[in-house]
Amino acid sequence: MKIQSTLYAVGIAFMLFSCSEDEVPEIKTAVAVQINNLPADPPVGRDSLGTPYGTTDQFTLFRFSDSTLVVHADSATDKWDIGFKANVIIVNSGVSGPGQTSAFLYDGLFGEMKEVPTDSSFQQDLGGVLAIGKGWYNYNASAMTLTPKPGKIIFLRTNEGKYVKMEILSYYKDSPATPNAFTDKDRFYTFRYVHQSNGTTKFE
Amino acid sequence: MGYFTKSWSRKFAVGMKKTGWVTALLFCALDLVSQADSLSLGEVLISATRTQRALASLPMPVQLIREREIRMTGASRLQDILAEQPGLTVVPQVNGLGSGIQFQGLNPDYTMIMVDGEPLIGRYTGSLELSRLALGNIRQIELVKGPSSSLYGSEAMAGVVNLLTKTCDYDKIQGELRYGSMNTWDGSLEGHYRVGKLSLSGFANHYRSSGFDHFPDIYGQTVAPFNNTSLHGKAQIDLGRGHVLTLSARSFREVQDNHYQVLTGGDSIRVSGNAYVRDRSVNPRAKWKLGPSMFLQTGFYYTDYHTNTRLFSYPNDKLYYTDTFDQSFMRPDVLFHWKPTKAHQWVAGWGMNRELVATSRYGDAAGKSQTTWYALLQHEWKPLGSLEIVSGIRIDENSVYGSQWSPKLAALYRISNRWSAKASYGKGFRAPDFRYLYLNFHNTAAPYTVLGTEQVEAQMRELEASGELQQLLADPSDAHHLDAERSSAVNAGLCYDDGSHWKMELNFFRNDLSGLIESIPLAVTNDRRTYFTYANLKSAYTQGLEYSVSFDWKNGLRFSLSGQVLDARDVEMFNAVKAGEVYGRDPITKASYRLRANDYFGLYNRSRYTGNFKIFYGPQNSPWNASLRICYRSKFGIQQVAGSVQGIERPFSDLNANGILDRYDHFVNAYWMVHVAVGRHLSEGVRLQVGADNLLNYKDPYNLPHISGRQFFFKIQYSLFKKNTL
Repeated sequence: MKIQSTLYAVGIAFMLFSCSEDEVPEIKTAVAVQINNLPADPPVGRDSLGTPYGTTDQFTLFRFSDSTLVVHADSATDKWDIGFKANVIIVNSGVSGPGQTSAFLYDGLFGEMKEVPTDSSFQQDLGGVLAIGKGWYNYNASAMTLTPKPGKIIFLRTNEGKYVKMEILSYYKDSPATPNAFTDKDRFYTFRYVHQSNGTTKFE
Repeated sequence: MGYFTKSWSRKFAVGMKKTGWVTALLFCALDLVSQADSLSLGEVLISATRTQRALASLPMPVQLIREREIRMTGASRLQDILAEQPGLTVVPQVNGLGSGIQFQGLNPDYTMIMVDGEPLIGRYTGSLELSRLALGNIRQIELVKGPSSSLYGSEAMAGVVNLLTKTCDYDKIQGELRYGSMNTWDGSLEGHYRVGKLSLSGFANHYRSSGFDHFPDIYGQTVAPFNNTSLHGKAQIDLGRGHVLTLSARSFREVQDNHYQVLTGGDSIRVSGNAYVRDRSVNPRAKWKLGPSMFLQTGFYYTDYHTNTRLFSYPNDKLYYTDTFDQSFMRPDVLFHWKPTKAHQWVAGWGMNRELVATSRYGDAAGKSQTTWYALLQHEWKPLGSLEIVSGIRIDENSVYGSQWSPKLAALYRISNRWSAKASYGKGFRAPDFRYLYLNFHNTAAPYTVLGTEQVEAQMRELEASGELQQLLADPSDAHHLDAERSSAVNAGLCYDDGSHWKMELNFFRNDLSGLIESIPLAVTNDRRTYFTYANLKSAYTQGLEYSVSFDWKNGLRFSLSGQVLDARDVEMFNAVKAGEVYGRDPITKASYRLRANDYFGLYNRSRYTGNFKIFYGPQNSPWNASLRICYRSKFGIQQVAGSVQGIERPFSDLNANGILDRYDHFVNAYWMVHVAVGRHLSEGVRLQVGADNLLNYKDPYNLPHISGRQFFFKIQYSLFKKNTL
């Protein structure tokens, strides 16, 4: 499975154009990444009722620090931070894994969230209640489409104690402007995130 | 034979040669004069105060649709004529088909529809289907806008529509046949007869249509073929000295022949069957004069409504779906009128409503009932020649949701001969209907169940006992306290009438609604089924301006322009947008952005601008009459609903999934509808009419499947009458 990932340093433009002699070029530790079309157990097909078949029933596991997919054999390790299967998102902790990843959902704009909000409520995946839960999407029962709610930011603290802010952008392959449940392939996540590797709660 | 042909114009009366008819035609002419007189008296309205009031003297926004206007448009069902009135919007039912009426931007659920002052029941998910009402025997339609709960109680929160049926003015038989597009046949027979103190009126109508199909490639039709029959009869005995006894009865039956393609168990199968609707009522009433300034009205109204829908699978004829709904309503009431002086008039009333519902939708067949006792008092006062004040209050005491007080205060001041100013304040309410209390809808196609609040406790206990309950999302013990939905409203306006040519009216309104009932998630089970129930959650307001200008030119030519500017918002949503807590998403870049206050469009299904321009031409001395009506509706959003039309999912506006209608969402485009009709009186009581509704053939099958496209019609009417027995 091919994952396109666009990786770029927030500060590249800054470094190219505005370095003056007395300024030491700052090494950016907060890196913004967009992941396109991460498969979350997409079905091989659907029957006439719309029920999916040919699914593996396995989570697709992902690590933020180096934007890498983690093989399922490593699911019982702390090599992964977050996992996706259909519309269910797990973090590596509690009932979901052996790690210590915690997360919460917050209302705001991705660009405006310069740091982890002070009223944070990091939570691990507990029995019955997952840290991220269902609040990030809206399911339209008549059109049978799942749409990520705008203005929903997921904050995470990874196994390594680093902070991540993340926004889910689309649930359909190639992010169609208006998804159609019958013609567009669902269970493909497109999301963006900023991973702060210096251990602070700031994303700049 | 004692019958003579009625001529409809004096020109014809004069033109007739046969002397034997001349006397009759003289009577006929006299009759026309008396009719003309009663036309000016015909500006009398009873719905606004439950007393006879001249239209111009009423301090609240009212409107009158006269028989002549109905006739000149060729309209045959109630929604046809209401759709052309200022400030009214005909909207489909929640399933996308059918029709209900929006008053001042309030949902159809909040407007009471009455025939001769008695309410109709049988609301498909809250809204009453207007096509149930034939117009052939309607003398006038009265519209009262703004809360009228002080007189009518629950449901009259946005206003009332009262259809007054024709009375026996002279002996008459009239037959009418209308044929139109979609193979629509509409035939009526009407008779009035007076013998001594007894007068009788009867009306029968049969309506049938082949329906229409927006999507011929899909099995079944958008609107399946249907036929219905309406009957109405009235008997009145005038005992003299102001004592009158009346008995009226009404019945309506409709059968629709449905065909659908459905998915079941992985197979696509065809199902078909009938949907049957029956609605009937009986109403004995007495009017008793108690003295020179006092009289009493008392009556007993009974009505019931029954639907039965069955679908059988093809080809093995197995029962695929069945659904029954039975509702009955009865009301004994007493109304006491007292007019001690010219300046004061009192109305006091007392009554009881008893309502019963039994349906397969409530989980068990046992009927549910509720009883409401009410008392009302109203005072009409004329402290000055130029000032009229109406005040009133009503209390409703209900066995399920408790008591409601509904006050009303309204005043009219005549500034000059031509100008007058009106203002009114009132409160209204709507009782939680049976579905909010008793529904038990277990969807087998999707994992959700909806429970009426009275079902919640028992069902949750059951889930808990069986160990299926995973998580409670709301406290089931709160569910018991479902309250009535409430409104308070202000109307203020100016009227101008120069007595000959110009009439103008301007009305500002604001309705504040609170405790609106919404569904809320209640619990989740282990197999991920979500249970919903209802709660008094939302607040909203609608405000706006209604205007109408009419100009009577010479010789029966009238131009009118009217419309409404509307602003209807959900209060919590609007506050959240203003606080910057609501976001949208760019469809291309997928980035979220914050909505600004003016990005919020308002409630679903509300157009900011609606209006109509009409020309009516109907001179007294010409056999011709004609009308042209142009109606406009600006863009609006559509709410997400479950269900489909012909298997096509209902479109919805909220594309960016932020739960509100904002300007980046999907909208139904603004549209125009043009209707024309031309009529001519032929000799000997024969009248012909041809016309076209929706002349421009406006259609939007996906968004508005209830709009059928252009419809032509041809109508012939034949009247026989005997000279007035007066």
